[in-house]
Amino acid sequence: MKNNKRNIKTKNNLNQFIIAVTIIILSILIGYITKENELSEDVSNYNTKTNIINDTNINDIPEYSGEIVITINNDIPYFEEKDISNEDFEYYSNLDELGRAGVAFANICKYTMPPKDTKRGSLSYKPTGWEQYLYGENKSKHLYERCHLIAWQLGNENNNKRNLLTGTSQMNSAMIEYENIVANWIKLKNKENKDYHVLYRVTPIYKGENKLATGIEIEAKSVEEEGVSFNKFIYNIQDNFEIDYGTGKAKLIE
Amino acid sequence: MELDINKVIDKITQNDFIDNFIKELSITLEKYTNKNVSKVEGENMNEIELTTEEELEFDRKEFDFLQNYFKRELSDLDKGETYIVTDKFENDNEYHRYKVTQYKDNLECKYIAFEKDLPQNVQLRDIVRKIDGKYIYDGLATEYVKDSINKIKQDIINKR
Repeated sequence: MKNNKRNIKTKNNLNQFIIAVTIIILSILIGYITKENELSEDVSNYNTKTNIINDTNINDIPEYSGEIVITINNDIPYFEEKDISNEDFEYYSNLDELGRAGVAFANICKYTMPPKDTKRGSLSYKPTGWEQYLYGENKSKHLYERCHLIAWQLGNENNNKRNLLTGTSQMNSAMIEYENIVANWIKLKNKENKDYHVLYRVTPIYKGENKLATGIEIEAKSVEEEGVSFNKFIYNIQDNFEIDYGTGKAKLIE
Repeated sequence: MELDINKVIDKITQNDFIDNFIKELSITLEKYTNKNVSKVEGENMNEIELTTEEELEFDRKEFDFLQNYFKRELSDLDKGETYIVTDKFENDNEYHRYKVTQYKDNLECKYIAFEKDLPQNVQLRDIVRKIDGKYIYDGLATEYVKDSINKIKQDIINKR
């Protein structure tokens, strides 16, 4: 009888112990799951936030009509008061879910530019839509180039995936013209011993899920003194070529 | 003469000291073996090239990891503002520049840092903390970030 009572007591104790352990394990599990959910929620919210997107939309861009460069917003860049600063910075957007480069924004000055007489290294990364087309005599000409959003001569950023997109050689040449305006201004001011800045933003604009950008918008504004200010859109086109922007594949039309 | 080895082993293992010793030895050996295996994996891993799709996955996961890491670090500035050293200007005999980077708001944010303000013998991928304009090396954080990024790559390779 006494033994039986002791057995029942032991059994009760064991049950209580099992219940307690189960509660502890459940609490830990619930806490962990809640924390994981909070974290993944944070991440998804975080991923959608990008402070540097400008207001230009694909619908604002007229169809290409023969001019590779067009002026946007009366040539006035969309920078806001809060963007004006003399801090040196370069911001590159994370690649989107399709692996495409997004907005790049920088405050260019002599310190962001590469040292004198430095040669740029070769590029290996293939941005989305990289379907190279060789043509001409001995296939010596190429359709596409890896275009830096923030030019190497301005930001010393070379093989950064977030700073590269597939562009026609014609688009790249047009971009260089505007990059030179900025570089020349900085160099000119540097000669006057002035460490001046130019706000510079390049926004690739894609239609839907196209791998190839329709074109890019370039905005620039000198910070300390008036001198540089523009807002241009450059079409990603190449004369005599029909380009499938969805894939990047192209064909020569004589 | 009959040795009856099994009996001897039984008797030895019944001894608490021997039993504890064997357990500790097993744990230590296991740890040592694991360390060596992951070291070998790590060495091989750097030689393994990722396919385009794998690289895209790696970039995305690495960016997410870094963004979460910086979100945590930048919410508490008691130990200084955290950066990762990402670039060195080659042939920069005039200014001796590096770039230090933070990952936030879905952006890779790069800033210029001068060699004189960085720790001696600074390496790319080091984690540094900016305090009063100077950058201090954080060894533990550097190791944690490097290991975590290596693990991301290892996981992708293991999925093959």
